[in-house]
Amino acid sequence: MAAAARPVRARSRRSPGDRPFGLSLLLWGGIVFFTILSAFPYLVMLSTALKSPQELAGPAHWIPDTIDLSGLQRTLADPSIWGYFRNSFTIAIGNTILVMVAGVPAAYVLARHEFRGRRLFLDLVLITQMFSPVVLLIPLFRLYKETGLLGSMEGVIIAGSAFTLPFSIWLLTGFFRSIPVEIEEAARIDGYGRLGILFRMILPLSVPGLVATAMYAFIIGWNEFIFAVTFLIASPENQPVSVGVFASIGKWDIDWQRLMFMALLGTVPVLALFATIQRQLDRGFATISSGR
Amino acid sequence: MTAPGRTAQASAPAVGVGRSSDRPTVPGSVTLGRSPRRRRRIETAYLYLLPAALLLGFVFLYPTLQSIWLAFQKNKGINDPGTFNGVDNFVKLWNDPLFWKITGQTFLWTIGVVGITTVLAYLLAIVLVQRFRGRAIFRTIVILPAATSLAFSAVVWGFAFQPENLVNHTLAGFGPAKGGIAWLANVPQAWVALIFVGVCVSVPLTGVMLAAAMRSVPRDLYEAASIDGASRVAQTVRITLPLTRTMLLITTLANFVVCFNSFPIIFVMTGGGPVNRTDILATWLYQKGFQLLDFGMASTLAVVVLCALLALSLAYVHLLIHRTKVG
Repeated sequence: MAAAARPVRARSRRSPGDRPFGLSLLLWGGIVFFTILSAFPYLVMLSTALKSPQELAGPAHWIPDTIDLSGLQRTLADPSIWGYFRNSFTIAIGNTILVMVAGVPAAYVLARHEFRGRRLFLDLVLITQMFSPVVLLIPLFRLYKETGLLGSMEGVIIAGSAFTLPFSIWLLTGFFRSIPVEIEEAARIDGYGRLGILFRMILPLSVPGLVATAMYAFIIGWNEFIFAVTFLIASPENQPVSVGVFASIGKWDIDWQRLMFMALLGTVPVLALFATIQRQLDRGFATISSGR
Repeated sequence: MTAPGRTAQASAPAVGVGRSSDRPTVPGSVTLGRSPRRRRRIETAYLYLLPAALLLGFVFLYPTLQSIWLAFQKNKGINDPGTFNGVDNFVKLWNDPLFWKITGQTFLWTIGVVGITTVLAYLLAIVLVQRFRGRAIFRTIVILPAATSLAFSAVVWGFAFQPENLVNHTLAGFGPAKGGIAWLANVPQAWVALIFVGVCVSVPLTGVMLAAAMRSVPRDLYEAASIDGASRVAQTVRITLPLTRTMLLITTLANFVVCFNSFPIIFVMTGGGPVNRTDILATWLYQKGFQLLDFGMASTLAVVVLCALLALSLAYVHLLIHRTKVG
């Protein structure tokens, strides 16, 4: 695996020294532009969260005159906030578990075995990527009403994980493929069955890929919105942070300061997770361009 | 892949003689043929797919069939058993000028976001593959929006786009200070704001994917081109662009589908208003289903959207399969 990673790194193309001045200027212009574009929402969150309500009522400006943390106090003192975070966490973990349980075995056979229907299954999985959650909301709503899943986090987890699954299978397939087949051959000669090979050989060797996929599923679950806002509308006790933030902008008197703290607390942990799996995702993307 | 499986049939009678009979003839993948032993293997292969198939069937297959069933009904809400009314819903939709208007808006939104995103993401990818001080930090900052819930992004952008708020304040910093623009309350500017936000949330991931493709272009091509005296711009146009064409195609189509289906940004920022003028088919469908409780018409619309996307997705699969081989 290390050998596969090295050429990619060596290909960071140009050394810093050999760039003409004009191109340097363009490059730094681009860097500044994209940094501002990406950081803008977080700057808004920070700037707003730290201003006092009086200052927020006045004319708009970026830098708070005084740092006011009363919004954070109000956020942490509100018991419903903890509920929102607990629910987001439950949905994210549930999403992760379901995606891994369904995704790992599927990705393993798809990566290693040729069988009738393999192509068909891959095409069907790809086609599910064209579905919008919105298109399925009404039938799912009816189905959930009948099965009692409506208003429960389980319902949100099931729907959300089905939408997370295709990309996860595809990521995992790439990771399993990168394990040399010879290892499996050797294990087979030693008398391991397919399950034994999967658990004793493949899974331990693909821990980084498994972790990356699990984190990806966690992030998607944490960010879940459409299913939660639709299925949990009448069950506020089960709503995640994203719905909590959305619900509070519908109110007459919006506490923006508190809302921005909620948004910050709702995004920052996930950003940290995402930063850690970035390299694995990069590797996954590199395999798309070289064909499946 | 199938040919060795057929030759293996000759030695098929050796059932249970020894493990050697089912050792794969092709190194690299286990080929499953037709001997009883192999058939059992096929069955276990399906067993491995079962959890995934169940989950996808429960969430995608059954609801899709339900949607089609509902599309031919007059059905007002969750407690209505519904009455079959043939193609009435489809006729009504076809004759509804609002449907055509919103379809137009959907394409305006989709093409606007995807077009601008593709151009900006390509530039971002070029920046991402350069070496410069602080590159690691830049890569992390730039990817942030891809990890953020669209609901959060939309709420925060919606706040910043309020007339008295940070967007107008920042714009006033450039050039003559203009009166506050009511970004989300009127139509041409609401689309500008929405498409801007759509672009902001789509650029990072697209840029990272394109950068991954750029990094896999063999380095010696650039070296050879430099020796031949090709400028950097010429190298980008003549080497990078053709060799990342496959990824460009994949990301453009993927973004097209995602934007066509996009829901949270418009739902949170304008709710489709003023009076449906920033609706796209996805948000209109939601409104019909869950605000007007017209499950029948909403399902009809869902089926129409699905058919449009299925046509798109078939083209997508087709291109993915055939183009990746070329690229």
